[in-house]
Amino acid sequence: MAADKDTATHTVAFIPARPGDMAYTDREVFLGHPMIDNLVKIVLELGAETWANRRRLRIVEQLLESGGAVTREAIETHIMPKDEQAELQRERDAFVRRVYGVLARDPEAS
Amino acid sequence: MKIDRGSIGRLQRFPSVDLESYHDFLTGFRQWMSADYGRAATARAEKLLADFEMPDHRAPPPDAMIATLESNPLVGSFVRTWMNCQQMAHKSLHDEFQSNANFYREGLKAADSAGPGLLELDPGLDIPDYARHEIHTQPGGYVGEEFAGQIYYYSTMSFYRGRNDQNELYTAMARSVPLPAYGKVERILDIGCGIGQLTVAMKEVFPEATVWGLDVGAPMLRYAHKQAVEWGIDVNYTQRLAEDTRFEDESFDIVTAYILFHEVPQKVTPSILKEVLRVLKPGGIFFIRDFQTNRKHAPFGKYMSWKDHTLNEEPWSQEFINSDFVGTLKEAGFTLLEGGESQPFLRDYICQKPVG
Repeated sequence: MAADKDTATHTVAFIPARPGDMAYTDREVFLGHPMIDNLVKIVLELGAETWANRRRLRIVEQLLESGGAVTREAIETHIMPKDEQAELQRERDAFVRRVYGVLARDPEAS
Repeated sequence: MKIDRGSIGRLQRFPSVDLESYHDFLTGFRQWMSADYGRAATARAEKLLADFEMPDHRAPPPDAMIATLESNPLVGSFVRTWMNCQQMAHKSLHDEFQSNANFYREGLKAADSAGPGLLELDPGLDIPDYARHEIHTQPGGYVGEEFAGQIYYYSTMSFYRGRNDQNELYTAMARSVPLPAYGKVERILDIGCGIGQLTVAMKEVFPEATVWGLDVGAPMLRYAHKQAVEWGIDVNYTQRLAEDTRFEDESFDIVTAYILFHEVPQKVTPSILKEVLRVLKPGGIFFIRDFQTNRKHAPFGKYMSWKDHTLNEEPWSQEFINSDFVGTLKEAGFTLLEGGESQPFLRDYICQKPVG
């Protein structure tokens, strides 16, 4: 049992969900062809990246408005005012609905 | 060079603005999945399954039912994106912590021996196979990834969709734990404590009590301890098995177990219950919050529960939900006091060790 332990990281050998294939769920096909499933993944990743850029831009705008220095540290440590946070959450939810809302439209609905 | 973004109250800020924003997107997407998208997929699934009969609610969904659902683009895309969100959450965090492993390793090391509470790790512990499985698609599970605690904490933030940023869910749970028959709480044990969210909440609700959190996963406990150190909360964490706690007989007034029992095989459950009965004082409380069991799901609920088991890596969940957990608790010797639905899909099982 000792050989399967790493005392430096305090970890032990784990049992993968599917032996030798940690990303097995990528192989599950729900949309008729693996490439279509992959495209959905790409679209989600792009949405996350777009939102991350928009949110970062909002922080930069807030720093500029406050007259402070716009450094990497200032961006990373900035705490958004509560009202701005709430406004940004509304924007995020609208962004998700606007971009992905078509997925919830049932093409078979009468 | 990593910048320490600190915390806001109990909220540990994400390691970077970009990672925080990435997960903020996932929170928004999951919010929408639980609303419009989920309603549309459920409505379509119910139409598709209108003629399906589930002969035995404990049996896996029939292949024909799975094929019918997964050949539908609306239902298929819903399940696809559900899994994508899980994978995106875990992969982004795994990448962050492994790419900066030395930085985060030093943070854990510095906290290991700090107080006010204790951290007891047992490198010689023989960790049973059932606890070594990957779970919830989290790479390495709870025992095989050095930063499992951090990955669990941050990945569940979008799962909780902002409702637990200040540990509110755990605080509310701790407040709902009843007092023992004799009305006094001196010692509390939280089994399967993970990253200690309930452990800390129990200490805050019962500040005079000595509180122990117990878990099999050292990476989870190290992160739990690191957080307690940062907050100055005097709780102790120990790496032991729930079925072999090595605490003295009748040494605790309350034992808690949050979402533990659906993560252990049914053959292990009686030994955990026996151990809890041993360490509880007569009249003491065993507070459990976990999945509902022995319950007939609607067909689409059954399908999603099955996918949670097979796709989302819940290796023991089907065994648990198909069991008669109330019967098992009574058979073990507990008196069921009360309980009922608490959070969505979860219920409380509030037990007492009989007096005399």
